Amino acid sequence: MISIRNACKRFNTPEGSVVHALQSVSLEVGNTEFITLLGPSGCGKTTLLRSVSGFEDLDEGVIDIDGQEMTHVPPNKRPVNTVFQNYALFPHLSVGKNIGYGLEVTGCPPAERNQRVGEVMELVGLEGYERRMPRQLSGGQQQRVALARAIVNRPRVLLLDEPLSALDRKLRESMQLELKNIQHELGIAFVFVTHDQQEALTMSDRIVVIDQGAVQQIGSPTEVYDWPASIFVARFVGEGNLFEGELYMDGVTLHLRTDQGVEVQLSENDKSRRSGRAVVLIRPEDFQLDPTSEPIADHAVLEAEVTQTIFVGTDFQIVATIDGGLPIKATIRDPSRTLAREVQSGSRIRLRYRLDAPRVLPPDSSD
Amino acid sequence: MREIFDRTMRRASRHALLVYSILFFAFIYAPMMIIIVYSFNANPVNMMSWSGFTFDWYRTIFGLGTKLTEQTMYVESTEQLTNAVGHSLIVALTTTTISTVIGTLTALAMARFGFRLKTFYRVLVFMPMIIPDIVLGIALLIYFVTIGVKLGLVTIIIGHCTFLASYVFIVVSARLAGMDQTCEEASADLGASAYQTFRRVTLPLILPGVIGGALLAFIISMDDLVITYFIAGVDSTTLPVFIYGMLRRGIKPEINAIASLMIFFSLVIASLGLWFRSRSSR
Amino acid sequence: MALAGTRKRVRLAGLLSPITILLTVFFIAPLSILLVYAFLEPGLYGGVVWNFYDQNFGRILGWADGYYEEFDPVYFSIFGRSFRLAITTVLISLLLCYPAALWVTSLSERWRSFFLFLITLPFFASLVVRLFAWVLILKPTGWINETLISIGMIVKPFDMLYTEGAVVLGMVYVFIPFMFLPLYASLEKLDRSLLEASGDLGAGRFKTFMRVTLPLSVPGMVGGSIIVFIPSLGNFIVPDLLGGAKVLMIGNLIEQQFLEARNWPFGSALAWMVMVAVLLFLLIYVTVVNRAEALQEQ
Repeated sequence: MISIRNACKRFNTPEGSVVHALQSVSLEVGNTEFITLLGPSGCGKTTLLRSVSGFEDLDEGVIDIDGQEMTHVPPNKRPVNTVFQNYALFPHLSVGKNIGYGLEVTGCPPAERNQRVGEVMELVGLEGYERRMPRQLSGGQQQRVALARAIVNRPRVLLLDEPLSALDRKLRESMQLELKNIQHELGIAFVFVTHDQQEALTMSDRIVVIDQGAVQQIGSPTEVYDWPASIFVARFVGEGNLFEGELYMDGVTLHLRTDQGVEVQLSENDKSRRSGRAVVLIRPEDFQLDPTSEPIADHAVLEAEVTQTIFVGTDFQIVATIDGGLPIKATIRDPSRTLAREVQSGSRIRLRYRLDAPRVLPPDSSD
Repeated sequence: MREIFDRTMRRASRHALLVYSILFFAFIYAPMMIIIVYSFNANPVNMMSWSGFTFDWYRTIFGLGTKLTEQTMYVESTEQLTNAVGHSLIVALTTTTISTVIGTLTALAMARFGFRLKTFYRVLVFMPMIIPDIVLGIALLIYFVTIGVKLGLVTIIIGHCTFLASYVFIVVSARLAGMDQTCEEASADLGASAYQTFRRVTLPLILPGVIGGALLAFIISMDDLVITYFIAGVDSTTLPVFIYGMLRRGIKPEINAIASLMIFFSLVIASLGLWFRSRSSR
Repeated sequence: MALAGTRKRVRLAGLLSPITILLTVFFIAPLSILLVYAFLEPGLYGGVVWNFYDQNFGRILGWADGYYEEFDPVYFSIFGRSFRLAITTVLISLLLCYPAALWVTSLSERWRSFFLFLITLPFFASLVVRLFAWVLILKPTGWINETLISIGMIVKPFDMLYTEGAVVLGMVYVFIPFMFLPLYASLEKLDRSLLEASGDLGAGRFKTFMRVTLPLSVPGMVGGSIIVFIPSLGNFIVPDLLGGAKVLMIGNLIEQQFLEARNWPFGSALAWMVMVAVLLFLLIYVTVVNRAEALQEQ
């Protein structure tokens, strides 16, 4: 549907330096795919979205939409529509006029226009609001108007620029589901920009992690979460304990000796290296408390001293220090609500993990 | 003791400020009130010595019959006055139209585009408002005479446009600065051409600013004396220049009536403008 | 890149060309010709001779040859009077407006906008008419004299018209909104909490005013002063109507060169001197404001 090849975009800052907003970005978006551009603010994800919608002109690279080259086609001639971050509703037009705007300017006859406006209003749950002015609506309703306005033209691709960031958490979560449903119903591709990794994991078919104008990883939510391609992705998506050090083989098991002298055992797999400097990631939820000291096959243990405990509903978070001063975080399921009594600051714990849970990442090249 | 002293001082100073401010606003309005009141004074010899109520001065300027004897008729002719009013209106309406268009286009360019000469343009557009009007007036006079353009309504219109476009620019720019630019992007995104976006989104949103600028241009154009004074031809006198001429030749009671009418009309226009502004900001 | 860039450039050129043409042809060109004229020789019966001629400025500034043109200190004194009257106008309108502006800022939202309306309203009324009002009030048979005579306070009318005082009064009256609005704007921006903080710290009302309000309203004072100073300096309508032949200002001198003496080159030289003075004052203004802003950021 969308094919972006080697997109490059530079900006000149007022101070005279050059910012590379996009560095040779390539990306394919499928026909009915929900793809998310994820990254911290200023990473280039919005620039990428705006070059698809036509508001940014690429310095280099090609953008095809639906098999046609669109690189320098103006925004109004592209078969994509956008839901803007601040909604950008026309303040002087009613809800109905706002939604019908795209049909009106492209010369759709009034009868058909009314029918289609009615349809999308029903789809997004705005029946009866046709005559209201945008400023009379709540944030959530304005968001729906923006969505309806963007899909009424039946774009091949819908671009969404952090559309949920202005909503409160509850509303945001229900809108996430609704957006998924609407996408399913429309059967078109959604390109969704967000800096919220939770949102990206919940909604996407695929996630594109972007940092400093370059694609860090493209993959399904589980791929990105389970097999982060870099330290940046590991840090940005989900939480993780990162141990940096030297890999070595000890007989049949792979070890990492951290710079602080802590030994971390892990099993090798076809994706990981066996020697040299590396960073090992263990997710907090990979740990379990090991009250016994019985060794279990395919598991290893890290001993630590608890420094802080945090109760977060179903889970229990432990911040601890491994011998050698290395901080570590563990998230333990605690359905019986007993851990708060048992584990306290200062107590020593044994954190057990499966040997295949740790991931070996290349060391940070920038260090 | 000290506290009581402080409180008394504070109250006294607040009252002093109030009394002063009332006098201040009285100072602003009293002269105009005097004009209006004495425009109904029947005394034909000394305008400022009250000798009874009359509408005669108003009747004179409209060329209606009065009880006045021929010697006390001062307006050269009603025709001259109406001509001057007509010229002023033609000039003001044409100038307002032209300078509103030019000022708005300039404001759009400055607000929506980045270009290298922007600072230069900003200074350039400010200059006509900054330089003393007498300098602009004589510069235009010399220029028109040098290139051989006959002085008349056209030269007045051009002269007014040179500085009124800047006033419109300022007002429209303020409005554009307060406008959400993504609305224009949304419009383009939905398939509108540049013209459609301007016509259906930008223009409606900046319209209050454009109308405000136009109103300001109209009022300044109607009232401009200095520049017009230098570049008006013999037979294209505008109302301010006409009144100024009358004043230079001597004070006459009808001027009171004309002045009162002018105050009245400008107040009506100003109130209309403010009414419109309050309506559009809703 | 090329395509979208071209489209943008065409649109920008379309938007900018009207103002460019207007100001090049009818603003820059006239001012340039004015400058050229200032260095041309005046013709015998009006008109000009196209020779380079520095005697126009010589007449004013003192290097006239004394043969064709004579240096006359009267021009200096007229310049001097113009500056004096313009500065007096600025100071008086500043003193008049400051307390009133301060008072308006202390009012509620609705009353504030009402008094702002009152202060801007006279701006809509014709300038000539407003000056005419003062002629009626000040002249020997005017309102003040008639009133004073009728209540028996005086026997003979005062001479109030055609004095420097009348000219200053007229200019103050006409330019009051120009002083009031910038002053009000800067006073209104003043953070109330700052004043309260100063009061909390034990500073009296007078001290608070001197140490907080006054320094922070300097940009408004300077802005208003410049906006009043510029039209005052080159004014010729006010001195003409209220000053008569006795109180000549540069504006009158320039006007005479054009409409009576028909010495356009000399008039152009005078006009350029006014303009340079105005631009100098503007430069001072910009520097002061920039410095004040830099101070506030610190």
